[in-house]
Amino acid sequence: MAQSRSRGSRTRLAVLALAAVTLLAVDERDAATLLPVRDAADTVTGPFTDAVERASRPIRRGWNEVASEDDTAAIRDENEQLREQVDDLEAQVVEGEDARRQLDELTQSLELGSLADIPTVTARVTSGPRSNMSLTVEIDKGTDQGIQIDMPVVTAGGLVGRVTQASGGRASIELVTNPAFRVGVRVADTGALGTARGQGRSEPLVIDSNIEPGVDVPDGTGLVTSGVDRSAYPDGIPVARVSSTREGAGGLSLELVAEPLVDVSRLSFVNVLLWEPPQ
Amino acid sequence: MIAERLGLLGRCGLVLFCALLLQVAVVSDLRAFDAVGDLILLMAIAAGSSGGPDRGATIGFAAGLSYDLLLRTPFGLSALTCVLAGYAAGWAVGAVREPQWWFHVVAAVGISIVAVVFSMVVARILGMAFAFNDVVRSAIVVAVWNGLLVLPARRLWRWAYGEVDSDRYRVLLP
Repeated sequence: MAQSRSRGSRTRLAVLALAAVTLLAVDERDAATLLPVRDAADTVTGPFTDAVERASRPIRRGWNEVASEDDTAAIRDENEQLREQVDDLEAQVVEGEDARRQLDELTQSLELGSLADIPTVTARVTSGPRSNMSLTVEIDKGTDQGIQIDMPVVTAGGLVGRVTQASGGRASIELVTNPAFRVGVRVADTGALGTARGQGRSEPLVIDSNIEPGVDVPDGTGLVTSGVDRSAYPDGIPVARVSSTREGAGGLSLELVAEPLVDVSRLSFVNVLLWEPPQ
Repeated sequence: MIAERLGLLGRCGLVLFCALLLQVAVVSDLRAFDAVGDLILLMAIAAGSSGGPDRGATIGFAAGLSYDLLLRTPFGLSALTCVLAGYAAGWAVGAVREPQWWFHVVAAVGISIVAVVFSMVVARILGMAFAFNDVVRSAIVVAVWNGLLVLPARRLWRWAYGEVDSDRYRVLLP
């Protein structure tokens, strides 16, 4: 009796595990097959999720305040460093204003668009990554506000990610730190090109560049989106700052390691650029 | 009989739906060491721990599948992880004669660690990448959450299945 029950249990386990593996295989073969089901589930649970999110806001805020108390000393140090940087930047502002005037004149004469011309939708981040394996966040704006899949998402600090899913009043944003994320970048002061890829939560970006080994790329050098032909991102969005360099695979080029400019673990509001790559 | 079955399904569905909403809307924002708890895995483990491997596997599949619908990770990964975790919890508890409360906690912690590592290894095989630190942090945080919450979650499943709590049973029948 007990033996047959045990055999029945194992059969049930095998059937359910096989069903899950089959779903994994279907999704792996063509993720679009199950996308409508996932979208429908999002739409159905959306209002409930919103209500629970609103109701639990004080709890979440309280938790995050407690969790961030340990960071106080680090924030104080960072504050000091930022004061010093502000002094430096003030000196650069005058220089920058002149450069901007010249760039505006040049942009107008060449009839090129700039980032400031792209319309944006400001959205509130309603929830962070929903699991430990997910590197996406949810926002409270969607297709009703003109948001489409693949649109770039930024904050005042720089690139946050791109829209991977959008429905009526909600959208999912894939963060720059996601290992599947790729963006073409340009070294701000030399114009050298490369491709930045995420490395996971709290990890820096790695950039496969076309820079020859031995070329000095100072720490702190800025990286912006390259906006090269058919790029998925417009030109000039700040992405990261170089923190170190190393020889790339094969020793033929330089690999840059860079810290994203935006702390994607603490997002409250983001701007979605209503921009689509030119066909 | 049918009404009883519908009642059971309704209560189980309610427990799973509430767990899912709490996970997505609340727990996912309560980050500690840059990782979050996993109530869905907890529900699978607690179901196995309170009702045996069959219940653990079945509830684990339902819970994992509904979680998969709301994530953008490989579809079926949570279902597979939760099926195995639920079954393992039921098997572990069944292998011990009259397990004490602490055994359920230890089992939940151990199974949670293995489940997180397993799901991340499978995800890696499927093309997702994780830093080693992320795996360690996630496994520890999920294990702590599940260790703390497994006893109340077991009670929740006993309520859903309309079972009498064994402690209360002993008081009633000396």
